Amino acid sequence: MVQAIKNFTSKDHLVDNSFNFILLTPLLVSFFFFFIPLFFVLIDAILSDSGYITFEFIIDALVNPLNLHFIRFTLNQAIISSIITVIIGLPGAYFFAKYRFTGDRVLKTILTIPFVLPPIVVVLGFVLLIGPNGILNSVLMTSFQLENPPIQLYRTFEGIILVHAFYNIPIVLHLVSSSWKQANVDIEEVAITLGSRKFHFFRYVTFPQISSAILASGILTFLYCFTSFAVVLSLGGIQYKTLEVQIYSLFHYRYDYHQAAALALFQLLITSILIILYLYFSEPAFKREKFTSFLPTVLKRVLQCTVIGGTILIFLYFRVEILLILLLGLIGAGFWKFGRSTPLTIGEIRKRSGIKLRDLFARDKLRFSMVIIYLTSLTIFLLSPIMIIFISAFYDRITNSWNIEAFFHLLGLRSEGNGFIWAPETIPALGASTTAINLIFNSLAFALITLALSTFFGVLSIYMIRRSDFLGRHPVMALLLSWSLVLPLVTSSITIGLGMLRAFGFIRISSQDAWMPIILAHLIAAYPFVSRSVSTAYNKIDFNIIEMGKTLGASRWHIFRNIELPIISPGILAGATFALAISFGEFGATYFIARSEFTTMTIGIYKFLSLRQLQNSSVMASILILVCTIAFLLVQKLGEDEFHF
Amino acid sequence: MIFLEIKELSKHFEDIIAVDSVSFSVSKGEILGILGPSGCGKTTILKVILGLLTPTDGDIRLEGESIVKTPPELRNFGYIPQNLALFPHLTVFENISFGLKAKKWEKGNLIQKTQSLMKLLKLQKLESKLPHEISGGQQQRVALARALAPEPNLLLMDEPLSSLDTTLSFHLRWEVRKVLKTTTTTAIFVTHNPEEAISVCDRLVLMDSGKTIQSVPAKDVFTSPSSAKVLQIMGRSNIFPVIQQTQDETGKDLLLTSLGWVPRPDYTREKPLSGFWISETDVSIHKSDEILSDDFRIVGELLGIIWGRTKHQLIFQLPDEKQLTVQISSNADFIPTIGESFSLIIPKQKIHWF
Repeated sequence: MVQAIKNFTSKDHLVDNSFNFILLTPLLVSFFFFFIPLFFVLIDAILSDSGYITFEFIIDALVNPLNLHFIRFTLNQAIISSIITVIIGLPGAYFFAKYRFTGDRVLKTILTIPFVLPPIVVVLGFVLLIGPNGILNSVLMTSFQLENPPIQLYRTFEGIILVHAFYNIPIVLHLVSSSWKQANVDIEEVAITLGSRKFHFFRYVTFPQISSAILASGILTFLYCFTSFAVVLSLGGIQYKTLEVQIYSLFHYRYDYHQAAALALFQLLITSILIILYLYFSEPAFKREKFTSFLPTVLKRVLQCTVIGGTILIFLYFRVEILLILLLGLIGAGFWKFGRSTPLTIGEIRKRSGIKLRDLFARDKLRFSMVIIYLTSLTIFLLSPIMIIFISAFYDRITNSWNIEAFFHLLGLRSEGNGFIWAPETIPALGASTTAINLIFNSLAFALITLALSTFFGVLSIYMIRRSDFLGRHPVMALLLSWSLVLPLVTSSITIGLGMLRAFGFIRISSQDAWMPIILAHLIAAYPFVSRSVSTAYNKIDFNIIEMGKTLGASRWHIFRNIELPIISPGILAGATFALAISFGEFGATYFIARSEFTTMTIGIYKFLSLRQLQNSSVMASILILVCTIAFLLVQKLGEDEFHF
Repeated sequence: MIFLEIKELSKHFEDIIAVDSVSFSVSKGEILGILGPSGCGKTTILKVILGLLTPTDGDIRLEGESIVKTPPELRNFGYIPQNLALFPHLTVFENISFGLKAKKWEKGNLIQKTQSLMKLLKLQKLESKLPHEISGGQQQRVALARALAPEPNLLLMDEPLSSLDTTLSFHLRWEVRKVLKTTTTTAIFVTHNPEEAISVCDRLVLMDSGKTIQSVPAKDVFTSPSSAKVLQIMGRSNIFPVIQQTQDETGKDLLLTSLGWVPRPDYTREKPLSGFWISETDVSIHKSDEILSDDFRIVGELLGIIWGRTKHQLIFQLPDEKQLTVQISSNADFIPTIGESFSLIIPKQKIHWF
């Protein structure tokens, strides 16, 4: 996603000077949609009921001891989660960068699947695996005749960390391994001939080349854990709540929308700073300059000090574990000192060919066995929660038998005599007249509408940006454009849900039309992915060929239809697939907004899970896993070589 | 005295034979050029000598001892790759002192050594600059200084001047040679550019498709080429083979070439002749049929002219369809017309037999 934002700021070969403001319409429409929820959150946070501006709500929200407690937990778990995720992921990143064997790409793709699954599905997987009645505990209890389940991770801090690590390891695998792969082979060879070995080699040659990617993946993991909703909602109980969950509780249980909005605003501030840091560190050093090139040096220093000082103040105010602050300080200092990341390389960079696993076996048996042990454990860790869902969908724990009845039952098929009859049953847990078929239908409908709208707006906006000289070149405009893409990314799903609900509450929309805010929320979630995908595809176009088309007398439409569209169509398709998968998997905003008529599959999974109807939950989740996996594989197939986040 | 000896070295990449049983040696203090067209295995040989690749077969001996099993970081060989591979995140000073730091030199010595090299290569004012902040020629010098800093047994350079523009490359050739001679460094210089090879190296090893075809002192390469291939690699045109050989009634050898039947010159008595070459500047063009001396005369039709700033190249077609290139000064009084035939006069002593 973030690639798209970078691209906008680096285009200086845009071709069309005849800029027409009417063409901006789709862009403005998208802006408008994104700003609705934000606007209402802001209003709620700073405007009192009697209509004057006040900071009372924000101050109240940030001194409330309960809120402080939850913010403290949110920060603590996010820091620990990201450090642990990076530590577990790094050896894997090293492996995929250095070694090759038949099927290495397939394995990497498979290990990425956890990241594309809806969080609620992942939660289900872990509950089935290590919950009190989970498969591991049952096996251990029967094998060792234990009274109590030996694995006590459910509703614990460690359990949440574990799920967050599971979810975010693919980020580290991808970002770090691709940057390690691009490390300059010639430079490494020269360093070796100059006698550089082991620590010296890592310290001066390897680390500077991968430090940015490590930092970027760490920040991104932090960002995802910081705004984690479904995982903590299901696994945190009343003891552990992230900001997201607390905002949800404040609004839904206390209807204190002022305080909820104030917290949402605070969260938005933190995520905005984080995403800027992420954008900054995911660029090589020499490109970073362009982000700050228009600022005077003094201001840059002031900014740096503000970020560092502000972070320390926030940590101290919310009483983040002192050990964690020290650890972060140490890590930060290490990156500052040693991580001067690679700017330009002179000449062409050769591709690393990779060491064959077979050769490693012949040369270094110890390292080979370490690689195999690590890979096997990682694969088991990342795949077992997914596998267990499929098993549970067809396995009845009560009767200890395999069956597909739950599956048919949920789909409304009942065996009668020799055949089946279709008679969907309402599920009381989900609503008075809601059947499982309704859920699937709702999800599908939302997904298709999201797909259509996000693709339309995504393609149109990117096209406009690409063809206008004015938009791409002006630094302020470029910054605004970046923000139009960043905002939806940093705005958490609960914030969007909150804003949508308040917005449509103001408009007094009738309950039959409650699908509209849901669609808008999905659209906001999906749009950045579509525009990123389309924008990446646009990068493949050599703009000379468009000028070529012009000199040959083709009209603008003719050029789009016959030159640009064929080249970007895989990107559009990939973006549309992303949109579909994101809409299917969306939980937070939908759960926040949805009334029972418009419940989706992810909410169904959560409700089944809450009611301990694990088989039903698994059936739903299996369908979602299939949808998301197929969508992901399709995107990979469409030539998205490297996975973007 | 032989310093480095390469014995029947081969390197195969699965079923591609990149280097095929190559042998040559380098004396102490010598600059050896390995010259050949791209893809002939030059870089592979370099990497095998460096230890970055393991040879499939053969031996590498340094002062009589095999070093095939020594890891690259312990060989103490300097290396300058084609793209220089300067450490982009390190300053000029840090780049040059990198090897010294890796080898844990004492700090005072490290600074002294680095500064003396910066002085030798005129880099004093650039010590705190990053590689992308300095010019191409300066980058070249930093790469050279970095490779020379740990006082390597042997310096290996892979087309280090090829990325520079012509003028800069021209000046640096002389400078590289001077620095190598000042520091008495033994070096192997790989290139595909004959001009570069002749001006930098003492001796040349010519390679083609993974094999060596000749090893010769640089200044003798044109006077005693072993085959037409050597001349081609050296960028010569106007190479003509001997097609047939016979004896006239007096027992004198006659050779059939593109110039017709030519008597075999006396000084070539001992060796068999495979052909000759003529320098482009040694041919003169005449409109009339007159013969001034006993020089060779042949009729050629002018096919075309490659115009140049100081010289023009004229391409003639000879009666046997072969082409002869003649170079004339761009301010010559007379420029021949394309399509017309001319007498081409070649002085006998200007024909180089091999």
